[in-house]
Amino acid sequence: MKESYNDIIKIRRMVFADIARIAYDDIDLKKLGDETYRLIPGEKAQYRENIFRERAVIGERLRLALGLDARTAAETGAISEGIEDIDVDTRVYTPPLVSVIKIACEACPTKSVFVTDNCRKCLAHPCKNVCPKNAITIEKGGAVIDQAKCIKCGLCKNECPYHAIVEYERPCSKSCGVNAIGSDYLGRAEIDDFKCVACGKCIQECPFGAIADKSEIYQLIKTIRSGKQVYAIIAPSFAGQFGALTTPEQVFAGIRQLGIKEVVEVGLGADITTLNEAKEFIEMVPEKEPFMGTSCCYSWKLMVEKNFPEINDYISESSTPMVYSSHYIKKSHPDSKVVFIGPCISKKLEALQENVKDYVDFVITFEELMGMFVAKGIEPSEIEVDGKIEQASVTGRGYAVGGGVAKAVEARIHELNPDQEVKIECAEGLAECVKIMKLAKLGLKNGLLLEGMACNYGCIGGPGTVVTAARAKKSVADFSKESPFSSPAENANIKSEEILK
Amino acid sequence: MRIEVCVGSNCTMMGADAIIVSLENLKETILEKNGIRPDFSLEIEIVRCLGECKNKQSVSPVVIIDGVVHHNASREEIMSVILDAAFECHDHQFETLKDNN
Repeated sequence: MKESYNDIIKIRRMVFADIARIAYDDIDLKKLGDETYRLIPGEKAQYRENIFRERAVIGERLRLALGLDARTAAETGAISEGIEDIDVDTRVYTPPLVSVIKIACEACPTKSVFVTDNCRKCLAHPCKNVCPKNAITIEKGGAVIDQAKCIKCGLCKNECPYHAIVEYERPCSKSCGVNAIGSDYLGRAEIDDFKCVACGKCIQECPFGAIADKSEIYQLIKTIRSGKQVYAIIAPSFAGQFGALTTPEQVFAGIRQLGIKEVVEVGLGADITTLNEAKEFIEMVPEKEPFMGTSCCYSWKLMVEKNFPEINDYISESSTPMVYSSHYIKKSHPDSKVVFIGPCISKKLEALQENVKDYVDFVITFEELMGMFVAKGIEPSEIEVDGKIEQASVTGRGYAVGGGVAKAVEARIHELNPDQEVKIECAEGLAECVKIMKLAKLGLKNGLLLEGMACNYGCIGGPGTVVTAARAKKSVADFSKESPFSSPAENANIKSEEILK
Repeated sequence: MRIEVCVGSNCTMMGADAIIVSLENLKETILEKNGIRPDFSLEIEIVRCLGECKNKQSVSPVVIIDGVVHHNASREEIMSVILDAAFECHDHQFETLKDNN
């Protein structure tokens, strides 16, 4: 669905590019209001019913992209309100990460089954006949469902020969795998921050573009420009994201042109995760723990922590590829700053955790990086580059695609214990992740290695990606094949002391 | 018919990838499945930044159809230009298409 929401994606990316431009050109943030006119010029509405609302919404988007909190109509004062707090060269944003832009939310009705004007008021009225709550009456204009009685079983919908009955659910709450979206007193969407695991699905699915996350591009650019040494670590799903003619080596070169000292593949950290998780699985399952869950998707990890505390210990203790990759840099450059660039927004939340925050200083998405390229006028596909990137193994690069993590760990277990049979199961999408953990809790997944990915297709389907998952999958596979290391154990960049925590 | 889709930074950010996917789907579905005009062929080429966005504002994504530059190209616009050309007498052909489905 995401790919067909053109205007929403466009608006979001325009905002990222604009914030990057503001940061690079040292534009006074007090003049942020001018940007709403720059982005929404003229006097004709293009996206919503009137241009004033379009500018107001984009103003809130600009604020969120600067790291500020979302505001309601009641709180909406000057656009530059509180701006001095975020005009810094260090991480500044605080949770909540994902917020509803209340002035953009259309307060869609919650789940209901209703009769459309396709109803022919037929003589047979099978809808009425099958209703187990006797909630349907046939009136002058056609069938009418008494919403107070209706239990939304959908039986009538399936019976109607004219497809006149539809079942409808809000796109945001329908997409939420952990049921975190409710309504406020005006019927607008409201995110329960205790339940939300920041997967970003609702951001992708809202057809009004009313949900957004905070960004750190501004503070990152200020950090780069202050002269601090900034290193980037880039997630395995980056291949193919920055233009169909751009090679991975050119992406690295483009990032360096932004003023970043050096780039490291997170696939390298993924290799360390693989080595550790394989070792852990052999030691723990099934003797000490009934099953093991992978640990690299933070939304999955957070979902288990919040919803399944009793089996939370069975999620691998290995650190995430992001943490290992950053550690790889910080051990030799302790004073440097590290930015993680990925398809993911929940990594922004992971980076705030006590045991992670010293390693990862900023997190941005591929979309946000694209905005930086555009703001600086960088064309990665035109940069001349020498040599190949040789940092991660074939399976480390494969982490980007659903099933890739489990496959990597399984392959490593086989290298260590050729006779051990490893059964794996992978869940894609948060709702599937919840389902698999429910079964695991009942003991139905004992002995298994479980991979959970909050996004469909794995990381290549993440909310911060630039290209479609199908095209990204191909690029990731091609880049993976180019690795000189067929196993993480062969990865010459990893020293033995890095293995195990 | 020859379509060039710019995949420079600006155009990629503004949805060049979605245009490529739509055109490839169009080729596989309507054009090939329904055997439109035997002499019609669709060539999709991805090209480096054409520089259009560097001197003018808000022109991305840029698509060139048989040498004609389209600014702010939308998928629906490009697809309809292709289909209009692909159907010899497109009103008639569309009717046939509807009947076949």
